[in-house]
Amino acid sequence: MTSGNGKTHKFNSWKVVPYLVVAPCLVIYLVFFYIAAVQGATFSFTDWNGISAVKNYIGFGNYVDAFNSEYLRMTLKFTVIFALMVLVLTNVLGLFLAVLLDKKIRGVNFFRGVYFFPAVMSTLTIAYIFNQIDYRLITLLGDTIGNSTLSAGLFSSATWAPYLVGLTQVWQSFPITMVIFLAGLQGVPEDILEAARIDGASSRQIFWRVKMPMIVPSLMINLVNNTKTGITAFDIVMGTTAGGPGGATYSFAMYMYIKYSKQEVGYACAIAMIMAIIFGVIATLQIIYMRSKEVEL
Amino acid sequence: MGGAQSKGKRFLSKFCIYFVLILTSVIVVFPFYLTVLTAFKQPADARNFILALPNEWKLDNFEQVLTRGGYWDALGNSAFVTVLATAGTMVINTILAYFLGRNQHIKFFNFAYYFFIIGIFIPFQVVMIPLVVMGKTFGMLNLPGLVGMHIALSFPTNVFLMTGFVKGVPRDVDEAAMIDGCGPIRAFYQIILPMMSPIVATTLVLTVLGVWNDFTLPLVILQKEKTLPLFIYNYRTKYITNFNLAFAAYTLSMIPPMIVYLFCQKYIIKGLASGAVKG
Repeated sequence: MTSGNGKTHKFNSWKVVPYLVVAPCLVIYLVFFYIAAVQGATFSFTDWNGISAVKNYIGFGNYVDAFNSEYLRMTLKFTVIFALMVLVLTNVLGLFLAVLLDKKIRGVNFFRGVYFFPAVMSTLTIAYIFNQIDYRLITLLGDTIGNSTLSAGLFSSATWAPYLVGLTQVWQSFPITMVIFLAGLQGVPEDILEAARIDGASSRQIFWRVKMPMIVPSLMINLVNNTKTGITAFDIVMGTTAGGPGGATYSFAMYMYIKYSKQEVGYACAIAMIMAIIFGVIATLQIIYMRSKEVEL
Repeated sequence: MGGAQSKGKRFLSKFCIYFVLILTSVIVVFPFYLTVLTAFKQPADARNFILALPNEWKLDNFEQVLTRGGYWDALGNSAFVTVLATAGTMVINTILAYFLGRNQHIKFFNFAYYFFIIGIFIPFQVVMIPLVVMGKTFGMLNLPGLVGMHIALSFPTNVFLMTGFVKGVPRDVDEAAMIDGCGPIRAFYQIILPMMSPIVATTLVLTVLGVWNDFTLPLVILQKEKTLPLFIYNYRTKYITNFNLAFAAYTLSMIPPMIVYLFCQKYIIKGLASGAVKG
């Protein structure tokens, strides 16, 4: 109705410009992501080595090989341990510290500042440092108390290495998780908390019944983020164990990279696809579940 | 009586909180302490306890890393990639998110929104090898190519966070601009973008950290040049026996983010928090 005669072309620009901005971005993303993804899926059905001009389609050959391989079993085992540790410990620790830092006590800003340090470091550097701590300090401890597992180094133990890699990742991941929870907690309106207090709710009730439902958006971001960290880990494994000992810390991405550097490109892509499917299913389930718990403000 | 008891209880709970906070700080700081300490030591210090202070505080290790490792090239490359990729990411994603958020009722834009954010659920490894193949075809296996790929892969997270934020900006603001005869691009830069500053701060922090610290993409894309994580990766394989030298390299690689963090700490944490939740 407001479209007066003189303003017609202005109104057109409001209609046209959005297409001019969005369409090129769509094309870029289509090429560099979706077409690439389809290509990746296609490679996974071939025996391509990454160099030669010939690709032979071998159907599900790579997948069959993968599922018969001892290494994929080890990869799955490591991923379950690692991803669960990252998912549970990072979120629990992050939420716990966020609750402490949400209190009105002295020095909160100082602690928050200190805790964030690991998040600004590169994962690879952190992994190397923890590798060295294990190699220099844990072995020393083992020698001192006469424990042969410790004195060999925990990253060299097929039993303990996955847990230690997990702890290293938790050490790096908790700050961002904590900050996101903290923001959620500080976003809970004061009048709602006041009303709950007047109604005689205990601080535990306030936390579980009032605050928790209201920080579901933070929880959702943290869950999906940490699931992704857990399932797609690469840098952390590369820096601490490089997949060893004997494949005990093969993450999907590590396994894939090793196959890629051995020029088994088809096989590498098949591993990436298996990882993508597992991550996709888990993330979708998480989101469906969290959506059902969400409270609108 | 009751008052004294609750006072004692409150003191105890405060004590417990500080105990946990300080213990966590020690766990966080310890690896950094060890790294810097070791970087100053010489092989002769190996006879002493690992946590002991060095016999002499010498900068020799740092000097060696700086003079013969290619550290400065790597630092320059990392800075180049981070600055350009971040600038490109922010410029493109902010306006993209604005138009997506404002036109959700039109099928095309609604489709585009989901087209971008579904990418969150597809791990990078799926496209990793095809990107190398494409990079070879388009001549992108170099630093500018790396910048381009970082920008191309930046859409999902940023569209998700920024579009959510744009929807919270009242519509009458741009309707008023439209009626005043202001074009959409000018309205965006003069009115909407300033209102988006919290989410811009958040995504800026995430992008800078993500690009600066990224290891996988440069590892597969770059042929000759090295970024800082690649420098560390190569340095380690080359000098695996001299761990004092390795720690000097780690320390040097930590310095740039540390400096940025120390100066912008408040801004970084606030920025990360302010937008992430509303997104």
